[in-house]
Amino acid sequence: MVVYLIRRLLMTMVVIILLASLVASLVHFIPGNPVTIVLGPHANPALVAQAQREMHLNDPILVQIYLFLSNAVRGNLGSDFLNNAPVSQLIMAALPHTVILAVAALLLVILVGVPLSVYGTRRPDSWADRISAAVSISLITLPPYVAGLLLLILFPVTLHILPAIGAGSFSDPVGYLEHLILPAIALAVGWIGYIARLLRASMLEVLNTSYVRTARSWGVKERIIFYKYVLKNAVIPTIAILGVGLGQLIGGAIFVEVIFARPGLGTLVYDAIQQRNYPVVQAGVLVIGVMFVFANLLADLSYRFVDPRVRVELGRLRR
Amino acid sequence: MSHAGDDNERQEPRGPSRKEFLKQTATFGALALGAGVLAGCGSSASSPKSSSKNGTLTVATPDDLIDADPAFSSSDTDNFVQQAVFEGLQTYVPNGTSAVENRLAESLSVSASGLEVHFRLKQGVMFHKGYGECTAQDVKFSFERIAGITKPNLNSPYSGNWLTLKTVQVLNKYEGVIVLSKPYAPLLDLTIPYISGMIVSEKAVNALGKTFARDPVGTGPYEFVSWTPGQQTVLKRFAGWHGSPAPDFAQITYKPITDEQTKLIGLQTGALDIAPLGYTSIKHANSLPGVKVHSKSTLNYAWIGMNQLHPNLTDINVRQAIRYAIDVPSIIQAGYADAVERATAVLAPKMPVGYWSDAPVYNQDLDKAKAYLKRATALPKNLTFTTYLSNPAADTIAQIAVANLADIGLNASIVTKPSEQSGTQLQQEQVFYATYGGIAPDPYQATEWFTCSEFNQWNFNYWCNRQADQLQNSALYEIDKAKRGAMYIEWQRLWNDAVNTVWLAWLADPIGYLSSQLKPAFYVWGDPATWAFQTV
Repeated sequence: MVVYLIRRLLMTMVVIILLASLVASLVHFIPGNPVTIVLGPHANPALVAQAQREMHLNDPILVQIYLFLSNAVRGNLGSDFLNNAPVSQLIMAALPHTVILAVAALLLVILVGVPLSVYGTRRPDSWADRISAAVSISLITLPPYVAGLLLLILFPVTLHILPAIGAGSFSDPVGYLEHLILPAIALAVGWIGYIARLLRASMLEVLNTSYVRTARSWGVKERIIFYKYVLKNAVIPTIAILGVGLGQLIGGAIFVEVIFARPGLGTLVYDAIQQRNYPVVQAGVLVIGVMFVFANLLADLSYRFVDPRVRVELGRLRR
Repeated sequence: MSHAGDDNERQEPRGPSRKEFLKQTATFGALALGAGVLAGCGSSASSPKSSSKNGTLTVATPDDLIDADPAFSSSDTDNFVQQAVFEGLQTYVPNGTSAVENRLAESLSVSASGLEVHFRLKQGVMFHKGYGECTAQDVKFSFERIAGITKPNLNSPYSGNWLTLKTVQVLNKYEGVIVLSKPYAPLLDLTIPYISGMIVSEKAVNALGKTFARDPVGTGPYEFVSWTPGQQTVLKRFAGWHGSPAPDFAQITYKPITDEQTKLIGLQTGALDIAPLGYTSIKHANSLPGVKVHSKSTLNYAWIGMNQLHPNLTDINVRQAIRYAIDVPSIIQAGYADAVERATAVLAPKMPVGYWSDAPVYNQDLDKAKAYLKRATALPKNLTFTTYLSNPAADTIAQIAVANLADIGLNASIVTKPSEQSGTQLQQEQVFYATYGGIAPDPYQATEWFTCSEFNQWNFNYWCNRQADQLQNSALYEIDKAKRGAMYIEWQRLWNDAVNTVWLAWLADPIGYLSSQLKPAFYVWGDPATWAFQTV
């Protein structure tokens, strides 16, 4: 197990290094000179040249990649081109909001998606199942951006409940939660539908297995069969998908953050791209990528813990 | 032979029965109806609740705070904060006119030679955060640091606004003399009442160093509280402000918000009190209850330019043809939602000096355009029309212009670039759409970019006229407003004769605000004076 963990971590590190190199180099293929944007229309050639030297924009790309990686390892993600603030400071200020939003959306996915699928599975081909299916499929097709706008129109604009923009403050937890509700729903809707359909299909498959038929023949109560055997086994692939989903929720938060004017990594990177603020773009994309990679790693590891068959199979392969 | 119940039995796919099909259709139909009802939920008829009732004015800004130091400001939020936190000897009255009033100065007088400006400060004006009283020494420090006289040199991009400053003599605690090496015409319209004339605390700048950029200390009606990157900048009312009446709002919060829909919803729900908007949002915003859009012409301008040095455009007949081919009213309608004033020259009517009221207006005349083309020695080959992503509506304007050119037989392709470039690659541009913004109320700032020395920098037209350069230079030092105005009008006439520009618009700066709650205040250049907004 330890060997497996070390091997997975090493692979993760390789992926992160490749990602960092790609980010550091790709950014320089984006046309546009950040110096003229930073210094504005009053910049003279001497100032422009000086700024380019200080930003290492004249160095070869490989040198810039090396500088970026060696600094990143030491926690130095550079300075914001526009206001000289340390990028790590900007990331640390924005990151908690994105993580909270993604986790809140994930919780909603679990708390709504699972019961939705259970309800439909227990009453197959009933009105409840059909409504559940229709709702799930509709939600899958709803992009977070559209969901966000619809929620804004319905709640703050029409019903005058829940805040429209911003994130509130950590010093006011209730207010912060109020600001979190609509963005979390907007981010979660697509995945709610997806998990509901996936889990339903998985449960229907498990319902047709021989051990379930055996349990029924032994007289085990239907309720126990459903929740102890069917759901528990059907949820295993869903856990793996949720790991990927967490990474995608983090990456997809950008649309929701912009619509709701929430602070976060998405807004940070979005604004930085428009401003050609290279250090912030590099660091932001790197952090999002790292989180995605670790979310997948977590999903892989949890899959191993939850499904004993995987542990046995891996053990057999070692021997 | 197969048996019922055999797992291996191959079963024919079972389609839905009539009953099942009707059930499914009914389900989807009911859901679609529900969605339709939801979509039909329009906006509320009542006015938006505003956050101003809590004493906070919430302002959406197009960008975040970068540097609030008057020597280096570059973002809109920088300017909003500076206008609230700092004051100058004089300042523009935020009533949409170019009227100027004494703010820190009790009196200000210019010598007959124009080489000395004597000022006397109001007494007892305090800096924020306990940095003491504002004195003539602070005035000296503030001006000389931007001019580049103090050591080490700040290399302020705005040092040109103090071009001829020799020194500031401190006569006593409250009196001083600004000494110039040459009379400087923009001094009283641009330098002193605008950002470069803002007074900072020498003690605070020395104590705070680089952090002064995001912890500015001034004497204004609001003092700086905090900046959270990418989230908000907060100011609070300064209890010790010398002016009156005291501002209505206890706090101003600036939030960088770029999404147009978010800003509109913010105004509609009262989450925002003030928000800059795009031209296409004006009509919708004005229809919202309790919301109004202030959209008056500013001093900024937009034009279609022609690079005179490019082989395709060296022939003046070709440039005349292009000038008469472009349908400017259509561009204003499609590109700016009819929300801007058509421009006829570089200096807008609101410019205190130099507006050319008799400038010619070139309406589309395809016959004339074709006639000019016939006179041309050679037709352009591979003509390009360049736009920049940083300009909103650029695509629409380019498409209209290219269609107009096609009407006279000139085929141009549209080239889109991410932002204005600099350097020799600019020589490759041919016809282009450009805008200049942030123009302050002095013609110098609007025209300084179009000289022979600005080739490969900001003179995209590559227009070089020595007589025009001479006029520009002379106007900079001419303190007689009538004479100076005549110089700029002549300068614009020379530009017009060069036939390298199709003037489009003096741009507006649409600002939405809660008219049911707020009495607005705007500067002549279009920015809201957020510190001066009052409750109704």
